[in-house]
Order: sequence, then structure tokens, then C-alpha cells
Amino acid sequence: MIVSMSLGYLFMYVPLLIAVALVIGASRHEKRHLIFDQVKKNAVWITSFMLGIYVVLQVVSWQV
Amino acid sequence: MAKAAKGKKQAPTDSHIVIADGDELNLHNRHLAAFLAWVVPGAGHYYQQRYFKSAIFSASVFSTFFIGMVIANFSCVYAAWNGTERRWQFALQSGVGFVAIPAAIQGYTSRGGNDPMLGSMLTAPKNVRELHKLHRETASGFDMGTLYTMIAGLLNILVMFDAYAGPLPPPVPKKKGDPDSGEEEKSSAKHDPPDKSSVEST
Repeated sequence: MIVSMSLGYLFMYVPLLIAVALVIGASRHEKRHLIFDQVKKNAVWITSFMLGIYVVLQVVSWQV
Repeated sequence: MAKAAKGKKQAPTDSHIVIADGDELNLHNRHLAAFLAWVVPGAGHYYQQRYFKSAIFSASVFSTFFIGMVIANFSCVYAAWNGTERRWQFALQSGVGFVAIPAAIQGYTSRGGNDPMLGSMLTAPKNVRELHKLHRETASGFDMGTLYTMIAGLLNILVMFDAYAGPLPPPVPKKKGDPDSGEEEKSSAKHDPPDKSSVEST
């Protein structure tokens, strides 16, 4: 079961999320407010994508 | 010329000046900036006097790389292509130049069982037993550290591109039946030619 995974592993995603969202956001804009708007969008998008993958894997694990 | 001055900001003619978010951006020597960005993340932007972005990039890439090194006990970055291991991950880790250069030197000089040139840092495991020991001692830290350092290298490729060519133009959604939608954002995108929006709207 995926949910039986240690929560410690989930915290590994936080620094990666921040770094990836910041770099992608900053590589899209030059002005600060636009950069931070883009960073927020990136963070939401990445988290949503990972949650989607999580749900798919969870459903698959229920089927097995 | 007068007609052009009345309209929107024209595409700059100098190769080191680009338009980003509606303003002109001087990239100075873009080749040097990209090289500096590769060697030290953020240094290219510092050279271009883009201090805020330099701070963002250096903090992001350095912290990701350093966290990876720490959780892998400073053993996950090395160059090796031999019977023990084909370390393809190094190709991605080498996006961060200040580590890639000494690691490549270490990998090159330690071929055939020779002693590496720079001591024991950034050296590959000598044999499979030593590699397994690394995995055992760090638990999943070796793999997670490898992942972190690979991502740091990939992120620095984006940083190099930004230093070389300025920010990427963001995609602009086009609304149906509104040919002028997204016009402002399009004009701020640096690579758009002046007549691109009119071509797209037709």
C-alpha cells in the first residue's frame, strides 16, 4: 500500500518543490511580482500532478 | 522610424539586448554569462547585474545540490564508466559545473586502478562491494541524494539558458472569438516578432 509509506519520504518533496517552482518561475519572468505569481502557479500545478499520480497508484494498488 | 516609435516596443537589434516583461534587458556577454552560470549557479546573472534572479537561482540550485550531498553522505557525485558501474546519472549532475569539473578529473585520473588526482573526494567506489556498502550505509539516502543532485543539475541548465537568452516567453492562452486576447503578454514576450500576434489571430 502506498499509504503505508513513511511520512518522512513525503517531506523530501518539499525542498524539491520549492527549488523547482522557483527556478522555473524565475526563468519565465524578470519582474519580481510576475516571478512569484509564476512560482505559485508552478507549485500548485506540480502538487496537483503528484496528487493525481498518487490517486492513480492508490487505485491500482486497491485493484491488486 | 517615426511610425515604429508610435507603436509598441520594437525588437532590439543588438544581440545582447532582449525584451523581457516589456522592458529591455542587457545580457552583456551572453556566452560568458552562460559559462559562469554553469560553473557557479547564479554567477552568470550576477555578472549581468540581475541580482535578484542570481540570488533565487543560486539559493535553489545550491540548496538542492547540498541537501542531496548531505543525505547521501557526500558520496553520490562521481564519474565512472567501467565494469563496476556505468554512472549515467553523472551526465545530469554535471549541469552544476563546480562539482562536475573535479569529479570528471577524478574519474579520468582514476581509470585503470590509478590513484585519483585530487585525493578521495568525488571518487567512484572501487568495486561492487564498496558500492553496495554505500547503499547499505545510507539506506535510501544514496538514491535520494543522486536524485536531488541530478535535479539540481537539470535546474542549472534552465539557469544557463536564462543567462544566455533571457527569460522564456510564457505561453499565452487564446480566447475564442477574441483576437486581441493576450495581446499585452504577447508584446512582452521577448522572442515574438512584431507581427506574430496578427498572424495568430487570423
